[in-house]
Amino acid sequence: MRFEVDIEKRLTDGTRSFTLVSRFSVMEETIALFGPSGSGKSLTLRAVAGLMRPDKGRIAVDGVVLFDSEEGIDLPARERRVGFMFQDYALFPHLTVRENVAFGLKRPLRPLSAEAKRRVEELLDIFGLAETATAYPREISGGQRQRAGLARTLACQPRILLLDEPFSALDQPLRVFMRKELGQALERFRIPAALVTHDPEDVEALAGAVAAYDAGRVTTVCSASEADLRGETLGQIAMRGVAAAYACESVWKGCGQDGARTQAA
Amino acid sequence: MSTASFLFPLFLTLKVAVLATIASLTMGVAAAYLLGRTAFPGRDWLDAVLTLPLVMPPTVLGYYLIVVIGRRGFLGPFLEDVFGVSLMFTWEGAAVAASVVSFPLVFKSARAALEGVERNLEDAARTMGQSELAVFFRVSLPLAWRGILAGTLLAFARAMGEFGATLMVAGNLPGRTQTMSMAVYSAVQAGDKTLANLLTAVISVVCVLILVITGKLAKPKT
Repeated sequence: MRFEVDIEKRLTDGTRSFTLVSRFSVMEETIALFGPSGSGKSLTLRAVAGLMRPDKGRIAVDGVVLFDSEEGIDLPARERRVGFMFQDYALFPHLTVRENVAFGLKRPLRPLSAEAKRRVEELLDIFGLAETATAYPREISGGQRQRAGLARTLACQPRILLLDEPFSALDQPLRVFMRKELGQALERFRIPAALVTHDPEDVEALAGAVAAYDAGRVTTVCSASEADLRGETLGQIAMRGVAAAYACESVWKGCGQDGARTQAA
Repeated sequence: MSTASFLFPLFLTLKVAVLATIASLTMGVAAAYLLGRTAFPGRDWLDAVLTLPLVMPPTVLGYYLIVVIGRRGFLGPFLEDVFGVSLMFTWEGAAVAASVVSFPLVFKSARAALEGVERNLEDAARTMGQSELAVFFRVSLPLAWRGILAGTLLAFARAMGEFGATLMVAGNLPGRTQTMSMAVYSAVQAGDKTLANLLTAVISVVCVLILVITGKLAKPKT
């Protein structure tokens, strides 16, 4: 898969302002967007999903242009077929696990097709949710919630899966377990993914490439094979890419321009 | 006291209040949705104007209505020519007055309820291919209905008890536009204590019931 992001967005909030210059292009199946909180990784993810409109730039997944300010292309979120898993999974609290998974397959004023029903049951089965299918999200465990969120997103057969800090709502032991499970799911469904994280272990375990963010800019882009050649792990490279962030007082101002050393095209 | 002098106001009040509630429910939710979703200069002012009937003296509102829908008002002649309806001194006029007065109660609670729906849930639905209409009916509304229903019940109570604006627009014509709150006033003026007591009792019981239900709706689910 070829995943290209080249966007700019300026946000102002009273006296503060934040400029995102997000630029990378990778061929790997799974890319990690790595960096400290407020460095622009999640904002980039939202732009890819069509939930935030960049001021200018271009976003393309596997040759399909989702956004291009010069050509006036800006597909609405519902037409992008981009799966988004929110940090807290954003499961619908008024629907059961099964209804959550079926949500995106339901067409207005029509019952679910037999084909859709089959897919829902299959996903519930794969993610071990068959027994909790009639439970509401508040009644199930954190791990089950993540599985339900993943199943719900995959049911829509997205062209790419975006994961916003998928493990931050889980405690450490469960995190290790779910990380492995997510890796298996990505392989099983053969779906490209972009994952936002601030944990270098996520990068090493899941990603084939990394883009490190610092103060709204991409400081480093590197693939696992490049990392190999340099005798380093992706996690180490990711950590070095954000080191500047911790040398400054604030991620909001100050280190922006100077912090961006290796602007990747 | 005749049965008619009690039953006519009772049924007229129900008719007026039900119609007014339906009107303020649809328009209140629509206005709340649009104002919550779009940002434009003067939005806060529009919000204030739409909430105005909540705090303005009903007689002033009634006067506004006369200016707008009266025989010589902006829209009065138009309504009469095109639809053949005159709202002055008719029960339809009473329904319009009650709608305007009860509108802010739905509008305010619908705005709060819709704003309380987590943005991520609506965004999640969008990424799953749902249109804005589908997002509203499948996510926002099911999560906000308690607040909207509570506001609607209050609107019903308010419409039922409407006096000032209704008096200005529809008058107090026994057998034609006399609602319960009007009838109470007339009964007290005429010294008909039995009728006044009966009407007062009915209104009080309904209002207490509505407030109890609204209170239950306002409590979070356990």
